[in-house]
Amino acid sequence: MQLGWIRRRWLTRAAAAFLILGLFALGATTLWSFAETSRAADSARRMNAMSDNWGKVSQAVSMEYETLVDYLKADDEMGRAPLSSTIGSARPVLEWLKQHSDQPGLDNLEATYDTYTTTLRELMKAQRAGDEEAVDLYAQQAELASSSLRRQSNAISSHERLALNAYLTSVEERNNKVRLAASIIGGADLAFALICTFVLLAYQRGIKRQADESRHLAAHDNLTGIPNRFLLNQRVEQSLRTAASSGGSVGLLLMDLNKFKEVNDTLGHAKGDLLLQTVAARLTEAARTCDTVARLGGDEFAVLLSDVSTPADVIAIAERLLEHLQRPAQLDGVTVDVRASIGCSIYPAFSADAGELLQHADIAMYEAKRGRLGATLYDPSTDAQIAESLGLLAEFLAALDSDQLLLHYQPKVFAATGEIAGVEALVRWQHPRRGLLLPAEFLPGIEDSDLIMPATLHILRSALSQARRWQDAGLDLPIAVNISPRCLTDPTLPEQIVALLAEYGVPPSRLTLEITENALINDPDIAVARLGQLRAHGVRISIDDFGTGYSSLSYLRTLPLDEVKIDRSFVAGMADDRSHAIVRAVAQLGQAFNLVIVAEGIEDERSRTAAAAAGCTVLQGFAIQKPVPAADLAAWATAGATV
Amino acid sequence: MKPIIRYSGAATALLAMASLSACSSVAAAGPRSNKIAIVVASTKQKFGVEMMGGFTEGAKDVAGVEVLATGTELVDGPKQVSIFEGLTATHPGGITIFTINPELFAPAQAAAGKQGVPLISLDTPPAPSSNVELLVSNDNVELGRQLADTIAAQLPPDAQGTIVVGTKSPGAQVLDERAQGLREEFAKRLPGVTVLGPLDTKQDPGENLKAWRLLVKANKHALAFLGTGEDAGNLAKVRRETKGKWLAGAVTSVHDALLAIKAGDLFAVSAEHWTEGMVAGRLQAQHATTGKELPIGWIMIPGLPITPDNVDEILARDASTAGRNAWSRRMTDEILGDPQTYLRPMPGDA
Repeated sequence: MQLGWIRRRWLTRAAAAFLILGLFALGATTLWSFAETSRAADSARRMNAMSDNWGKVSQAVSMEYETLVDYLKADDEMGRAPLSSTIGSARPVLEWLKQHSDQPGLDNLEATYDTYTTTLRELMKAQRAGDEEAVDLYAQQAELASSSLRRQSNAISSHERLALNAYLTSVEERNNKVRLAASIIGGADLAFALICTFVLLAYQRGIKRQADESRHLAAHDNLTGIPNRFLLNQRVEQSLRTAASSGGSVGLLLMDLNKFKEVNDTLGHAKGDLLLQTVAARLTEAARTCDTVARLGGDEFAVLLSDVSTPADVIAIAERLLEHLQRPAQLDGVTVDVRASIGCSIYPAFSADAGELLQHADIAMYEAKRGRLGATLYDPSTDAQIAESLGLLAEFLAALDSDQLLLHYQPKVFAATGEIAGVEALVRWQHPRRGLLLPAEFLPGIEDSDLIMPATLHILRSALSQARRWQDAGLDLPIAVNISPRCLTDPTLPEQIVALLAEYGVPPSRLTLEITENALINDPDIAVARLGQLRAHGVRISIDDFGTGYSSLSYLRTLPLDEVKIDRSFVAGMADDRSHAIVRAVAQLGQAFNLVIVAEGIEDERSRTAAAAAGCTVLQGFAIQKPVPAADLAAWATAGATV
Repeated sequence: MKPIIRYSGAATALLAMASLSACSSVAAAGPRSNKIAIVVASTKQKFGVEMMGGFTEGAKDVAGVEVLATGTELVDGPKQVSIFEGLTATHPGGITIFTINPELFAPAQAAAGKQGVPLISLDTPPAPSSNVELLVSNDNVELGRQLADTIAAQLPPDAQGTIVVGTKSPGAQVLDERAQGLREEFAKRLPGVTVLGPLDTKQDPGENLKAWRLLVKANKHALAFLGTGEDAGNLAKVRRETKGKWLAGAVTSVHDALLAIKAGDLFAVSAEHWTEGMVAGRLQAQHATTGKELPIGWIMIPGLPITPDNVDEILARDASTAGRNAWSRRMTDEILGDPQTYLRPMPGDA
C-alpha cells in the first residue's frame, strides 16, 4: 500500500495540532467534570442539610405541640414544666436556616413560629392565672399555628428536595453531555494519536530507507549500480588484511575501455552511458561471486580478486573477463565493438599494500593499452619506462601551455619544374632539458592520450598563423599538417579547423591535411565522414605513408582524397625494381584518379630523377630541403626555390 | 389607588421582548393539534370555576380550537396529575395547569414537555424540574401588599395591636407569598402593629369557619383578621356574628364577599382568576391554531382591590358572563399587548 501521503507535512502538522488541542480539550473536560462533580456534591450536601433542617423545624414544632398536649393533661407543675423548656426549641434551627437559606417562605415561617411561641407563653400565663377558657383558646390557636408551621416547613422541605432533584438531574444531564463530549474527544485523540504514530513510523521507515540509500549511493556508482572507488578501497584493504593473516594472495584488475571517448563523442553520452552499463553488467556476470567489480570513474573499471593463487590465475581470470567483455554491444540499435585493456597486479607478490596494488595495476593497464596487449600483468622491470611515459605526458601538457612546441617546414616541389608546391609543417619540441626533440621521440606517447587533440589544434593554429604571415609577406605557400587518426574521431574537428582557417584568413584550399592509413583502418566510416566534411569546405586531403598499411585500393575510390604521398621506404628503394614498379604503379593509379602523387623521402638526385620518371608529380625530401624553421624556409623560397 | 403593576427594569423589559419572540423548544416539537385543555385543582371552588371560564372564553376568541376545561372537584393532587396525564394524549394541542401542588406535577409535566405538549402553569409557579416555561399568574406578594394597603388605609398610622393572618393551605406558595406581602406592607405602614400568623385556617369551609371563630375569640382585641385565600365569606360571617369592630379582609372575589364588602363587613383584593384563565386560553389557542410561539417567562396578572367604592361596578361585572368577558378581554388585550410591563422572568430566574 502506498503510504507516501501520510508523510505530507500538512497532515503531520494538522494531526499534531489536533492531538494537542484534543488532549487539551480532554484535560479541560476532565477538570470541568471534576469541578462540576465537586460543585454538585457541595450543593447536594448543602441542600440536604437544608432539607434536614426544615425537617428539624417540623420535628421541633411537633415536639413542642406534644409537650403542650402533655401540659394540658398534667395535674401538677412538674407535669407542666417541660413545656416552658421546649418553647423556642426550633429557634436555633431557624437561625441556621436564616443564614444558609434564601427560601422566601422562611420569613413567613419564622413569623408563624413567633405567633406559636407567643401563644404558648400566653397559654402558660393564663394557666397560671387559672383562666381555663383562655387556656383552651390559646391551646386551639397553638394547634392552628403548629399545623401551619408543620405544613409550611414540610412544603418548603418538599420544595427543597424537588430543587435538589432538579439540580441533580441537570447535573446528570450535563455530566452525560460531558461524558459524550469526552468520549468523542477521546476517540478523536486516539485517531490523531494513531495518525501521529503512523506518521512517525512512516518517517522512521523513510529515514532508514534514505540512510540505506545514502549508504548505498556513497559506496556505489550511480550509473552502473556497482561498487565505486570508495567501496573498492574498503574491500581492497579488507582483502589485504585477510590475505596477510591467511597467507593468501589478492589480485586487482584495472580495466580501461579502448576508444570509449570516440563512442561518447560520436554517438553521444547516452550511448556512452549505455556502454558503461553493459560493460558493468558483463564484468559482474563474468566475475566470481567472491570478487568485487567496481567502476572507478570514466571508462575505468576494477575487479578485486579476493582469493587467487598465482599470477597465472590472475591473467587467466583477466583474459576470461576480456573474452566475455569483448563482444559487440547493442546500444539502442547501434552496434559497438567493445575493446578493453586490463592491467593486473598481485598482492603480496609485487605489491606491498593497497596503494601499490592499485598503482601497479594502473601501470600494467597503461602498458596493455599502449601495446594493445589486452591483459597484462604488472612487470616491475617496466616501471621505469612507464614512469617515463607518464612523465612525458605531464611535460607535454606543460609544453602546450608554454609554447615549447615549434614548427619546422619542409618544402614540396613540382617534379617537372622544381618550383615550390607547398610546405609540410613538422612539429618539434624544444624540451627544456632534453633539447630539440623530433616527433618520433614524443608523439607515439602522445597519440594514445587525450592530449593529441589539443596538440593537433595547437600545431594547426601555429601553421595557419605562419601561412598568414607568409601570405602577408607575398609568399603564397600551401601548407600541409599531419592529423592524428585519433583526432578524426572528434566530431568537432571539421568545425574547429574551418574556424581556424577563418580566423587566420587562410583559404581552405591552401591547407592540406595529411592522414595515415592507420586512421582509416580503425574506423573508416567515421574517417570518411570527417574528411568529407573538411573537403566540402575546400580543405585538401592527403593520405600519408601510402603503401605501409593495408593499402586498400578501395580507399582511393571511397575517400575524398586530393593527394597520395608514397611512403619514403618505396622512394628510397627505387633502385630496386620492385619498389620502382610500385612507385610507378601508384603514380599511374593516382593519375587515373586525378590525384597529386607525392614522393617523399627524396634523399638523393637519383631517387629524385627516378620518382619523377615514375610519374610522381611532387617531390619532398632532404635532397630538396630538410625541415627548417619558418624564417629559413622563407629565405630559401625567396632565394629561388627552383631546384 | 395604588399602582397594581410594579415597574420592571430595562433588563426585564429586554428579556421580556426577547422572550416573547423566542421559540420555545418544547412548543416547537411535534405535530400541532387544535385540542387544548385546562386542568384545575378544584372545579367546585370559585377560583377554579373562574379560571376554567376565563380559559374557555379566551380560547373561543381564537377560532378553530376544541377546548376542554376539567379538574378535580376538590383539591386532590394525585388525581389531578392522573387527569393531566390523560389529557397529554387527548389534547396535545396544549394544556394549562392550575395546581396548588406543583411539586407533584413536576415529573408529569416534564414528560409531557418531552412529548411536545405545550404547557402553561396557571396561578402557581411550576416546580423547578417541570421544565414548564410559561407562567400566567398574579404577583401574590403584591396581592398581599394591596390587601394590607387597603386595610391600613382604614386604620390610623399609629395604630397599636395585632392583626391575625390566616391561610387555608399553609405551605401553598401563592398563599404564603400573600401573607409575606401583608406582613411587609404592615411593617411599613403600621409599625406599631403585630402581625400574628399565618395560622392554619383549614381548607374545609366548616373547619375554616371554626378556625376563624376561634381566632376571633382568642384575639378579641385584634385590629383585623385577614385571609390569604377565599376566607372572605366565613370572615364576614364571624364579624356579623360577633358584631365585631375589627376589620376583615381576604384575597377573593366571590359573590358573598362582594356583598360583604358592600355591607361594610369586608375588604378584598381580587386575584382576577377569570382574566388569568382568559390570557392562558387565548395564548394556548393561538399556539394550537396558528403556531404562534408561547412566550417564555411569567405573564403577571394584576390584582384588583375591591372596596365599597368600586364594589358595585364589580358586582355588575360579575353578574353575567358577558360582563366578565368584556372586563377580562380588555385586560387581556392590555396584558398581551404590553409585554414590557407584564412579561417577567420566571420567578426564581430573575
